[in-house]
Amino acid sequence: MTYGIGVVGVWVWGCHSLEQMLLSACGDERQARIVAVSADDAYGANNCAEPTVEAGIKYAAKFGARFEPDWRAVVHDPEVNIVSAMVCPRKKAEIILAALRAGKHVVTDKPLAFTVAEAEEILAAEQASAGTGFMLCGYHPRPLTAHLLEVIAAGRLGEIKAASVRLHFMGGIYPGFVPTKQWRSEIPSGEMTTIGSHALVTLCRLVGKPARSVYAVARNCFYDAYREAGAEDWAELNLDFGGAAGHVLVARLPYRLPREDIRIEVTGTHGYAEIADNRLTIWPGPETMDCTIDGFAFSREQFRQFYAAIETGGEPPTTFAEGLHLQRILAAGLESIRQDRPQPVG
Amino acid sequence: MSPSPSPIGVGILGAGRPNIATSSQIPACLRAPSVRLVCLCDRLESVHEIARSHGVRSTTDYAAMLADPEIEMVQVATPDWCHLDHTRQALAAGKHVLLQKPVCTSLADLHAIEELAAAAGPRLKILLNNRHTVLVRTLRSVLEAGLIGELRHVCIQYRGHRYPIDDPASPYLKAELGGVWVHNGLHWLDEACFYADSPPSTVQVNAARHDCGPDRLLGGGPNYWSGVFRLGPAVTFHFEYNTMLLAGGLPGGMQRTLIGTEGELRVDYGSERVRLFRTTPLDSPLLEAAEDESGLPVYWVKPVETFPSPMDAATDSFRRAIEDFAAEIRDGQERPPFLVDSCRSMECLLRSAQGTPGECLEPGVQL
Repeated sequence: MTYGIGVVGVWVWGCHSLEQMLLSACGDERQARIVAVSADDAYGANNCAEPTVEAGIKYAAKFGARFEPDWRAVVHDPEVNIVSAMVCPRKKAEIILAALRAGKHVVTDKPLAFTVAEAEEILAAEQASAGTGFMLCGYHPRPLTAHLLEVIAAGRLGEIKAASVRLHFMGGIYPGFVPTKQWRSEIPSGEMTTIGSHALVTLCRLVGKPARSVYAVARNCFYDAYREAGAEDWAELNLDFGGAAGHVLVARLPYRLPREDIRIEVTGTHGYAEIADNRLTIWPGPETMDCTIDGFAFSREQFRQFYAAIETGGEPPTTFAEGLHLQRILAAGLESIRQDRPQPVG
Repeated sequence: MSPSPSPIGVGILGAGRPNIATSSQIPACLRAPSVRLVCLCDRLESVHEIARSHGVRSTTDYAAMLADPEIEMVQVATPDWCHLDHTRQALAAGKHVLLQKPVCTSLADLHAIEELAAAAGPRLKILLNNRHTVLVRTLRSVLEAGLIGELRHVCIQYRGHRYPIDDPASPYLKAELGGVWVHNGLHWLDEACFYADSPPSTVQVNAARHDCGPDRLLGGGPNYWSGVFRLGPAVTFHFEYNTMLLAGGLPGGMQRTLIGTEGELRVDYGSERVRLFRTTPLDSPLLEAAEDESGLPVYWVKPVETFPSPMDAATDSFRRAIEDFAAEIRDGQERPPFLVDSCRSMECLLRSAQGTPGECLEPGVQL
């Protein structure tokens, strides 16, 4: 099968070039090409070195694709099967909704939308659509976490009673990135959203049920630029899962921790497991598994799974339903920060 | 040169059977030049044998010990639910009181103890030796040297056996007493406060319960707690107390993480060695390079002091706490941890264990 990809948004901050992963995940069994590209300042603060439209035109030309100044032309292009919605969260809902209603498959980065209401509408649209939605988010597909989830699914840890995820982006602010008030206005929150989404989706997978309440603390610990933009560079969330407890700590650290991709602890009624220093250790045991992440291979595998989901009706690595639950946790977290008390999720 | 003041006479209540008093407080007093152990007291007759082995007096009559003019400081190491009564009697007798943690087991008792302390001429202090251990002093020395910049977050995690209270008759197995969260939590909350130089200003706790096991050992309450504290405006503290596990080769104990603006300190589960991760390389006499394969600036922190054995090290931490209190008695200058801060911390633990689950609390507001 050959897929036509429509790209909405070029180099918007916080968005990866998912269309390139779609291309790289192809093989003999399927092909893909970028059909059309749309870029505009209205899609979100970006890191284009030149005017946004010119950058979009160049990007389209690089892939032999058509440039469209209006995203609607991309979404409604009959040659487009998959829409890569790489725009800021505030802009996402109208584009994703239009794409789903046009019967397209959609891939987007986390978070799914800006508000819970938008995410709910997106999920409803996906359920009514022939299209499949994939929200790239979370560390659950990574080898060690994936193996841990298999161990949990096999019942080796019993019922999960507590889980914690510590996830950091390290080494300071990304080179060239200047947090601005515009950027902050286009996302629900700072690092609670950007890093926290990965940790929260992973945590929910580990616990295996939806969060019921959340208490969140967000702070500016490290960078004046974040403070001036009104975006936190640190967030901590204490979650209640009804019979199980969860904790998430996320931050953009100024220093680097060797071999610390993600740190996880899980306690079940029959056992305990941790991921630390790129090693998964399971008790009773210990049984260990070491793994260094090949980020490219890991991402490509997720997109292969997305193609498979489209073709078989299965699930993508992270679903829009998970995106909605994430959105509810983030919204409850924001309300918790405002009121300084735990808030119900959803 | 002025002569050294004569040592302060000490009586220890609750030293009639093997416990923290016999294992730590007695040896600590015997090694502390500023105090002199005078008498042990317990309702159990076995106190006489224990006292004889240390060459000190003994009695089963608390009033008699309180009437002893040689005794200025009374160390109360009785069961926690007796602390209020024993403290009241000692203060009324004009004795200074060094009270074992936890302060007490109810908010009403805590309130009463604070009122007693405010009204009393003699001093009252909670015996919190954790901040005097080599490990904690080592971590604090790194903070004071500014090697991780400004402290932003403390995380202390305990993971351990599912039945931490091995006495089926212990009242701590009742849900309303808060289990080990109330029984032991003050040590680590005080430790975090020591790093932050601030008492807790808010706390929010989620708890869970692992039901597998005999009720007589599991008790009625949770066996897992995840608490998020604010320690003043700049520092947060995550305290995870996980007693849902069975040993099975799992390295238990504490894990400590201190995050600063320029680096991070970490002590892994089951380890006493401190690692430092930095933004940039650094030369410091406190550090030795860890030669990490990553090439990143990673160091081992040198302990501030070494001892012949872990028992010697533990005894020394009690000795320091006792000598601090003796100095307070001598010069009237309170030293950290201040009583009011210890009581605020105790209030956080009690209210989060006994109040509405998950609620965010501000200590001192409702006490």
